[in-house]
Amino acid sequence: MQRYILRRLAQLVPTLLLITMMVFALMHAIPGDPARMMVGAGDSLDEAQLAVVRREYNLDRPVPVQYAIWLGRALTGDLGRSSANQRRVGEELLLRASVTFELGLFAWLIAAAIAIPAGVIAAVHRGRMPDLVATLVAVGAVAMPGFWVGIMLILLFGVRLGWLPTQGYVPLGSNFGEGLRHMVLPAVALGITSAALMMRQMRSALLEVLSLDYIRTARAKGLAKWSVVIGHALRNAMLPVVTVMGLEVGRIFAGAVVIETLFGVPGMGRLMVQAVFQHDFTVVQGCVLVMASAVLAANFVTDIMYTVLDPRIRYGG
Amino acid sequence: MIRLPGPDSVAGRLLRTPRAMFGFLVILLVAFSAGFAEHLIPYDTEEMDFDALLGGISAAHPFGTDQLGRDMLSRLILGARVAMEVSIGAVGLGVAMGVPIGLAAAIIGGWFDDITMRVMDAVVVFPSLLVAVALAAALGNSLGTVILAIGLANVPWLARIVRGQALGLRELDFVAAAEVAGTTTLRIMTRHILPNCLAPVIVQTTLGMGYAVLTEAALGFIGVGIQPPTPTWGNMLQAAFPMLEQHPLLSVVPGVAIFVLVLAFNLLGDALRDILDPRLRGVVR
Repeated sequence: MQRYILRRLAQLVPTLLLITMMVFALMHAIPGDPARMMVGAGDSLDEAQLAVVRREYNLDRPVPVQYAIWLGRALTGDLGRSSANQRRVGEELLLRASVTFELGLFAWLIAAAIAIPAGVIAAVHRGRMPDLVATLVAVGAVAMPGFWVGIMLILLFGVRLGWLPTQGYVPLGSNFGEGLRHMVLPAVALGITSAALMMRQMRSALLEVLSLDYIRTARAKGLAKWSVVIGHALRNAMLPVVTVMGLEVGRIFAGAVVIETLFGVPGMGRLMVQAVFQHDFTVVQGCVLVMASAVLAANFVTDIMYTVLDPRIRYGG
Repeated sequence: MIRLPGPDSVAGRLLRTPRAMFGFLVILLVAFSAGFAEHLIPYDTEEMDFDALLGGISAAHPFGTDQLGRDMLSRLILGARVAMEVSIGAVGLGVAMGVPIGLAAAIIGGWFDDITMRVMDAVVVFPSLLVAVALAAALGNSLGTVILAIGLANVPWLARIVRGQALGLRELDFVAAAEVAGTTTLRIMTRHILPNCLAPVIVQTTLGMGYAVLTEAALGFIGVGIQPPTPTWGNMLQAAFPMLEQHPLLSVVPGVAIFVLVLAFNLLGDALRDILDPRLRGVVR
């Protein structure tokens, strides 16, 4: 098991390198003078000042050298300075990322907490009312933009009923109850698509397992229906569900860009959108790097979870 | 003589699947509106009716008017054009790049396959919305940028599907027979392997078009997508948001339009998957 994890970790290295190359290339794909871009579009600088900027950011060196320098700094957590407010991007990101992770985790947990029971109930009552309702809701949820669901939630629970706050963020550490209240609507909007996809996977995986011989044997032994479902079928049916749950981390991070903007949550996503409007490319670059690395890490954990749940995979691939 | 689709043909089975027909008809309707938008819109999309600011549902304005008195139905129809352009463009780009990459990886194999698929693995880690926002920062926000960003995100999925299919097909006897007969590799790829890869590609592109509509809407809403005055369903929702309390209809109408079109793509895609290849359940996104 340890050797397997180490091997998978080693396989991450080339992928991570490729990701950093792509993120780096993004900055250099921008048409125009990168030195001007670094100091911000609004500032007017003469040639001498631009030369200083070029030297400072090594823009006068060949591109592979620039990449090596940038990568070396990024590895130590130095992602450069924001051109908009001169703050260190690494420190700013650390602050904002914790908010996004909190929101994302909450959304993911809500999605799983809805999807798994709903999927199990739908599969057990296949073709009957609970199944039809769950499937219909899931098909609908997948077709709606998450942020639009968020707008409708604001309209209903914020504007009409006035039950929940619709803007802003309160750290859970400072005021747990208020923090939770602020988190509910954004997390539901962020997690709803994932909930639908997880539920569909749970339903179809459980249906497949329930049709197998060992389940029939367990039922024939006289075990109660639910004890067979929970005790015998669920563990095996969870395998593909775990894969989908891992893949959904990427969707949740991407969704956070929009949902944080909608609900005024000061996370990484909102930071990135603001940076786009300020042409603050160092910040955009940092955000993309952190989010892509987080998705990669989530995929890695999914792989490991998979082997824990299914010992057959441990000695293969 | 016109040949009608037989009962067991793909078209025949689609005709008997209600959700597929619903999807197909909705897509047809939206495509028709998009194509003939200029002839269909009752008002110019920039025409302001100051007597009907934030108007509700009426005979003159079936979907009401916005804060500038512009007709919502007309803007919705022009928005449909953008939605279709983005989804066709993005999926077209994904197919144009992903299919050859997947085919080449499967046929050439070896180190080429390893490197290509590793690159695809790295690309998958970037959610398409993220790529789109970053590209908008780098290249400016235009229809082209939006199509490029969403299209690039489609590439690895299509490449993986085609590679998987092609690897399986390559082992089959009819390909070996073609090889023995002296057929060139290029011809085997285009004539024998490619046509047999198409079923999952069609399914993936149908579902991908719905996803493209959703991504465009999200980009438009945060303001980094296609910019006004071109009306898109996304930037209409952005303009409507400050009016949410006062006039929720503005936020409801474009959202429902997105929902119905994406639902149509998804239902058609699901039905196609079930008909073309039931084994694909769960494999294709």
